[in-house]
Amino acid sequence: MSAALAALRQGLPIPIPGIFDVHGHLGRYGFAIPGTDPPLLVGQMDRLGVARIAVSHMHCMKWDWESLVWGHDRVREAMERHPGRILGYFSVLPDDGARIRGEAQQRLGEGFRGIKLHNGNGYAYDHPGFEPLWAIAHERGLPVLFHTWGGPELDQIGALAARWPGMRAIAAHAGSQNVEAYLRLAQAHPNVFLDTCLSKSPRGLVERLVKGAGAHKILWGSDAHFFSLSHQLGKAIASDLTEEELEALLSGNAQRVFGGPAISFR
Amino acid sequence: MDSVKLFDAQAALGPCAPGSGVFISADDVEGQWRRLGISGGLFRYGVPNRAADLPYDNDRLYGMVEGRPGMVPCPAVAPSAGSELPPEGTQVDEALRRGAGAAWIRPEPDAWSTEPWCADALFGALADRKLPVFCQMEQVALTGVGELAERYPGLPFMVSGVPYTAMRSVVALLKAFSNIYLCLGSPWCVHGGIEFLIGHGLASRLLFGTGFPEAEAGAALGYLAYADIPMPEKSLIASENFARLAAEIRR
Repeated sequence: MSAALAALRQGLPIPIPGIFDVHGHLGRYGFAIPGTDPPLLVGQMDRLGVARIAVSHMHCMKWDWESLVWGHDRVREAMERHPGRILGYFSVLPDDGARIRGEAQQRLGEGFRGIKLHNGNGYAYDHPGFEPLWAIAHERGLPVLFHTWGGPELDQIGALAARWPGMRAIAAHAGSQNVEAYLRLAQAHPNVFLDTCLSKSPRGLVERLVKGAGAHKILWGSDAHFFSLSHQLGKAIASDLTEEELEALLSGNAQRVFGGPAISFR
Repeated sequence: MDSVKLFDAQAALGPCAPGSGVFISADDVEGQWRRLGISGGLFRYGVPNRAADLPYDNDRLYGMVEGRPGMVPCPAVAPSAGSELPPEGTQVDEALRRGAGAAWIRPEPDAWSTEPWCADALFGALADRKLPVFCQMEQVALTGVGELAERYPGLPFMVSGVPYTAMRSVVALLKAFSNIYLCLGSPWCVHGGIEFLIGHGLASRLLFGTGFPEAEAGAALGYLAYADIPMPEKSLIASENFARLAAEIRR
């Protein structure tokens, strides 16, 4: 039994340094989520041994700038309260190029580390109004976390990744459906990565992603505060991976994508 | 957690999704258990949303768990109005004779209604023996579970397959009906969900379950292992609540 699985069974911090969750959220949503205060999230990270989480606000799904900006401010506050533990994604709408550039400049200056886009707000990722955003992501080598569900958005992301090779695209909820399309996307583009968060946690999916796309292309994401960190971490640790594959999934790959050195908070 | 006995109340054997080519044997299950530290479980046969030959599938289930003391069968039952199935009381007697720890209802694929005019004899027979009813939300919506729990207050209902989005309904349902139990396997994985329900005094109404083999069992294990709750409550959820239900069956 691996040391990580032994720790999981006992509810102890996972003994892998720098565990990095690339898919988190702050704030309320339409259904009830208990305990959404950032300190509670960080407390849970401590119990699990998770060093960092990159979050967007739930308002990343909104379709007006005021709501997005309000959410960015809440993320900034959490980043300031938990430096190095909570990293920020910001979001934009494709209707105002100048505002995209202005918001990106402000948020990157505040220390935000990436971009989160959710097409549930009615804007497809190939909307021409996003062009200024892609230029910034390419130039700065930023991670861009895309909400996906196995549909035509995967082709849109592939086209963007090819045009903007400096961007580091992360397709969320990999394998939600159409697993082979996710694998083809990650195989075709060196700057496309897949994240693992899914509530149903299908047995064998993590292994299939790792074996199919390559252990260096899969990132661990929890989708907290929607899902529990512990549920999504348990899924990864109990998967049939080598210790090297598990460390890459939970820590090393994200450190590389986010461009930071390996860290441990303990 | 290693000192806590884990009993998986939400597991299945036999064929997985059509086309998957996967058939889960009892040996497969025991291999999983050894890795994860699970010592027992309640097992259905097959998948929930497909037509089945209930007597045949139940026999397969009994055969697969026979001689494996940690594996408790959860056979499917249905109203016998079509007369191709034994009478309801006979189905329940047979389930108990074969060691069942609960009975699985699947109204959609087995084509019956939970309304009294169709299912009263079935639920009456189950209530007489206090044999818990296992159901999945995709088969019986929470509203339907509440109606059944109200109609048969002495009969325990185990609800599984509840999505992470359902907290508002779930906490109200559990508070309203003391004979409803929530299985904690995937996809129930809302952030802080166990702690919140424990905070509402519902520790005795939660059952550890994994959703295996559809779901990776380690997810539910992590959800319980890291829940920020006292160890006695963790033990209740891990196995003691189901053990209490099993002990109350009138065999």
